[in-house]
Amino acid sequence: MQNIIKKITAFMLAISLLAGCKKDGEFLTEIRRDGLTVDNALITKSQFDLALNSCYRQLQFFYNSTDGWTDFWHLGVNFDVAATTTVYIADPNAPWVNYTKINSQDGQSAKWWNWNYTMIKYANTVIAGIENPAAKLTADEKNALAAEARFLRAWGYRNLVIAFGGVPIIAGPVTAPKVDFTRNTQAECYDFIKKDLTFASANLPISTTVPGKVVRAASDHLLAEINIILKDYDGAIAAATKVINGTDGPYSLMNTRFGARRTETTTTRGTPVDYYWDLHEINNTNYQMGNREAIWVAQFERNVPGGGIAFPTQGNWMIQGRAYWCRHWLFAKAGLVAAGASDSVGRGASFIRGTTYSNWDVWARSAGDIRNSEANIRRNFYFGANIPAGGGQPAYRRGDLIPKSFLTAYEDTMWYIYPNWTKFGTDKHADGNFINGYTKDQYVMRLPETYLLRAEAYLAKGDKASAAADINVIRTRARAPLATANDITLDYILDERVRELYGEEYRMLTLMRLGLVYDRVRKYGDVNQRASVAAHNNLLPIPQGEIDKNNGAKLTQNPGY
Amino acid sequence: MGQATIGTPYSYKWKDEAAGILDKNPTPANLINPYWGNATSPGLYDDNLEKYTSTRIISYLSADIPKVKGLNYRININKYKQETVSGSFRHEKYFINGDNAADIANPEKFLSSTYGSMANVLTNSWEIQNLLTYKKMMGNHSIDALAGYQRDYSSSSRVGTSASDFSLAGTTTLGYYGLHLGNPANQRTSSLFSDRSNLAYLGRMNYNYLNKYYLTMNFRRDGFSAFAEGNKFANFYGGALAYAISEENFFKQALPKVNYLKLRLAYGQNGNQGIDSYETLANIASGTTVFGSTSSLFIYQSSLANQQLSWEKTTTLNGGLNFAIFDNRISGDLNVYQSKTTDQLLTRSLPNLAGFSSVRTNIGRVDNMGLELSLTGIVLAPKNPNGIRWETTLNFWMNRNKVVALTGVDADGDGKEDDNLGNRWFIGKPIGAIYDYVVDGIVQTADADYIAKFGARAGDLKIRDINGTVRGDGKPDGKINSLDREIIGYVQPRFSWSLANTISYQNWQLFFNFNAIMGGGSGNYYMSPNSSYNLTAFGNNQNQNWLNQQYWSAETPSNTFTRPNYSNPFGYSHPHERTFVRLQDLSLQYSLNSKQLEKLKMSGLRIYLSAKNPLVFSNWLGLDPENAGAIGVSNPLFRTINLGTNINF
Repeated sequence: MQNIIKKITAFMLAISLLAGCKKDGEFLTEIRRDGLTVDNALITKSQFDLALNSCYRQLQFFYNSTDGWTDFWHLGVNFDVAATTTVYIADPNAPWVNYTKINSQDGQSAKWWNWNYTMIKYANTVIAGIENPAAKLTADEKNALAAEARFLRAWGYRNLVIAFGGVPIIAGPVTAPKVDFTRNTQAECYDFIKKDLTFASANLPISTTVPGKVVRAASDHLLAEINIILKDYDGAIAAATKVINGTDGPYSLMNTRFGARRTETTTTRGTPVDYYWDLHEINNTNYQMGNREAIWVAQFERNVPGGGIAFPTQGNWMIQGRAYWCRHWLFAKAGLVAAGASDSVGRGASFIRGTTYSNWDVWARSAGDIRNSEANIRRNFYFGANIPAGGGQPAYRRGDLIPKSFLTAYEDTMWYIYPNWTKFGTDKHADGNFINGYTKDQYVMRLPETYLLRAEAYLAKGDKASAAADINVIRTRARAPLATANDITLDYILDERVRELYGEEYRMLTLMRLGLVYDRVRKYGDVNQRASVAAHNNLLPIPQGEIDKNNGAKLTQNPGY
Repeated sequence: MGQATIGTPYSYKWKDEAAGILDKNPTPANLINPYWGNATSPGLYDDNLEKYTSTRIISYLSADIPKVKGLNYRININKYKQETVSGSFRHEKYFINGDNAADIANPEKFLSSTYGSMANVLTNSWEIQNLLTYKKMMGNHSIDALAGYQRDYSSSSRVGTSASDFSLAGTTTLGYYGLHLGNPANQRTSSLFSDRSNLAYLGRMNYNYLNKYYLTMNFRRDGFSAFAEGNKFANFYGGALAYAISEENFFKQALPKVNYLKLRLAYGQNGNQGIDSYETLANIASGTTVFGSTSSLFIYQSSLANQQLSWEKTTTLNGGLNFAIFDNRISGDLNVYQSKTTDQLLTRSLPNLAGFSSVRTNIGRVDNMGLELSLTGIVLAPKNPNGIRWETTLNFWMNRNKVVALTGVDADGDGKEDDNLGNRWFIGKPIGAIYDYVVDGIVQTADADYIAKFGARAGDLKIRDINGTVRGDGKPDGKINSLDREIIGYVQPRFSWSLANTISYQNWQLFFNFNAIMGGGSGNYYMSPNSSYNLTAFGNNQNQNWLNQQYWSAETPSNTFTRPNYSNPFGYSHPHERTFVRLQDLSLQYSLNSKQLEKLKMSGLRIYLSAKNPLVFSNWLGLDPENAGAIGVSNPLFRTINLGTNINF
């Protein structure tokens, strides 16, 4: 009996196993069920839009990748307009404090390289993907997607080629391990960029309802800069003119109060405000809300997923204020205590300080310039408690202005008190949080820069009158004394860039494309940078890791590194 | 553990114990109370749930095939299922400022910051083995053969949900079971799934004659789903011979002191399938970005496809012997091996400019050879039960490897394959080469020439200008740059050993055990400059403990440690030799014997003093040389001393 049961069981088991069996090959076939692969990720228009969004995600890294000073380096920190303070980098021999210590292992150069090549990879995925026959796109959709992707790719290459010289051009997605990259020439790179931009300028939309997306004006703005580099000044003027004269859309400089706080007449501390102050207020930065000079704006938003990179659990806090602003709130000598952070001084950590050049020199002949108003550059700070007389100082009362004569020690002016440019922070922190209650969109391109590019092209052609006219558009809006044709030099334009675009323009690239890193840092840089900069610093070193890993061909290092 | 360097044992946990209010910042002010929790670990104001349920079914059926003696069929069917439910919730109290009475009184104002999540993970696996075995003895011949076919499969699915901002709900009482009350805009779900399958055909035959001659042959054909299409299968062969020569009469007569000697020789192949599912695919990842105030998804290609990815194969030739001599007082086991690994599965670093920093790949060939020896001896054997008995065991092992071939790149056209600097793989050299600068201590104030020549400051690393032979020409060029790197050592140890001893005398027993790793290096965290810990200018890190080491200063010119604010512009990894000998265990115990116990009417009494890791001999500067770790990064090896007694009645 038992034997029979055994036999039946065995028989049934064998049958059930055979019936449920797949063939070996079928059993081992791998199908990914919870994620897409390149084969099915880029078919519909919506999917392509998501792929393009990765470029915009990458752009956020340029402003909000981490704590510290490093996100602001390309905006000119440790060049002519600003420098890291000893609060943040104590070693006088640290790279970028001491230029001779910048070598091929420099983290900043590697970061710049990776950020931009990542942007290019994302753009290439889209550019190649739209050619896939399986993609369900109309001809118009293809053109629009290609234009956007090619603009973003061109922008990435522009960032690279100005900073490194000729770099390897990667024109499509890399599908297999490749280690034999070689550098293209600078001319080849600019040619590649110009082709992308020419296509983008012809095919990008003039306007968009989606804040942050690129439009035709952005492409023409960038094309103007590239044409200047290529010494095609007429081309530069033509491209910039399209942005300025309305061909690319109704752009104009804002000259009346606007935006979220237009009805407020003072800051929360009581300082009278103006329309220039509106330009840099939270929520006022996008064209879509009525800011007519915003051409391209990197998007950040508090308490929204994806609204930032570095501090998702702190409401997408942006550390511009912490990095750029002085630590007045910690100035014990003036009666401030740690709890003294307030809405109007925030909680600066003084990682970065503007140089004498940007804080004072450029404002020497600027009576009435609202860009230098107390609302826009805060220069006055106040005692936090009554301070008895002593040490050669008279007595001060809480609320008195801290006078210059009180600032006697190194830290007093390098850490605790120096001008706070309002554009880096706010006097109205979100959620009443003075530490991390600050998230703001960042201008990548703003109309005044288009004027300054065109002025630069006019100057290069010898047409100083037209250059002065362009600059005076900006100065008129700023209620600054007007420039005469004779005033206009390249130095004047660079000064005007500081006055208008400090902390916005990629100052590093401006100086590099003009070949002026050495001259300007030597003249205006902070004491350590001034003493150590050399001619070869006009280009960054090619990252050593890239040279090492690219062992199938030689990636030549830039001279001097 | 990171707080071990900051916290003081005199801190007090509560601000108001009766009300259940923690002190968020006990002394010093920059330390957050560990009970408060942080971004990664839950605290007292958080809820946490981890629940596992699993079922395992093991079943088999074995049948002797009628009419063929020794032939057996067996089927094994195993199934395993596990369900994991996890939940976490961070309540509003976590967000209060512990020094602010208004916050303590009204934590509800932080409801918008609260968040929680819950997830359910289901893993499921099964395995079926069909085995046919045949055993037969024919006089002095014995045969044992096996043939089989097996499959296994495992899958894992995860469904998760999360929510944040409970200000609309007005309460977080429900914790992770009330996620549906979170702000509807912040309720998220995710669903994940992965699976993998394996199959194998196998055969093995053992043959033995007179218990003197042994022969084994085996074969396997393996398939694994995660390898690329067309590369999923691999075949492996092997064979082994053994000869128990001491069983021969001539041997017994010639060498009577040798109790046992067996010679072994084996040759075989092994496979490694060490990759995860979907690693051969060009995968797409996603994330979120923002336009205006609206979140948006983005997608991007996150990995480079490798359509060639396949099995890593190691072929090993292995010889050895087992022996026992002098009435089995000394016995041992010696193994030497030589192996060749082809298509090694590695993560290969790639230039970032292509957009992928690495790819999983099969690489070239790495050869290994090594020796393993284990010896056990009775040093003293007592003539009578009250004498001293001393047993000792020595283990020794060493391994040498070298890269023979990589991806076949010969960019310099010299007919020999090039090294891969980016991955630190050098042809003819071991894996794990340390390629870095040659450092001659620290620059001193008196080194005026060096300072002038290289723009150094006293207190910097004194890096030698060598233009190393790997990339340079070996001729100094007056500059310190990337050319000055050289292979300065290896991560892998030269050899390791351990020695255990047990000495017993009457009621006493002493046990001690050494182990040692000789050679090999590693980056030393505590040699590197740590400006944030050493400069009070930073403000945030005063009152932190650090190793008692003398950094360079003009008054205390160290030749080992840099000045504390040195920023290490060359990214020197501070490699340091890790050689050490450790007294791993030491224990002394006294136990009563059975006669004594009987008198006391006890069944056991033992008193002991034991120590773990009581002594380390090493030149390593820092925490333990074996894990080369750092406080806050990894846990150091503890030193424990126990005094104990066991009493049984």
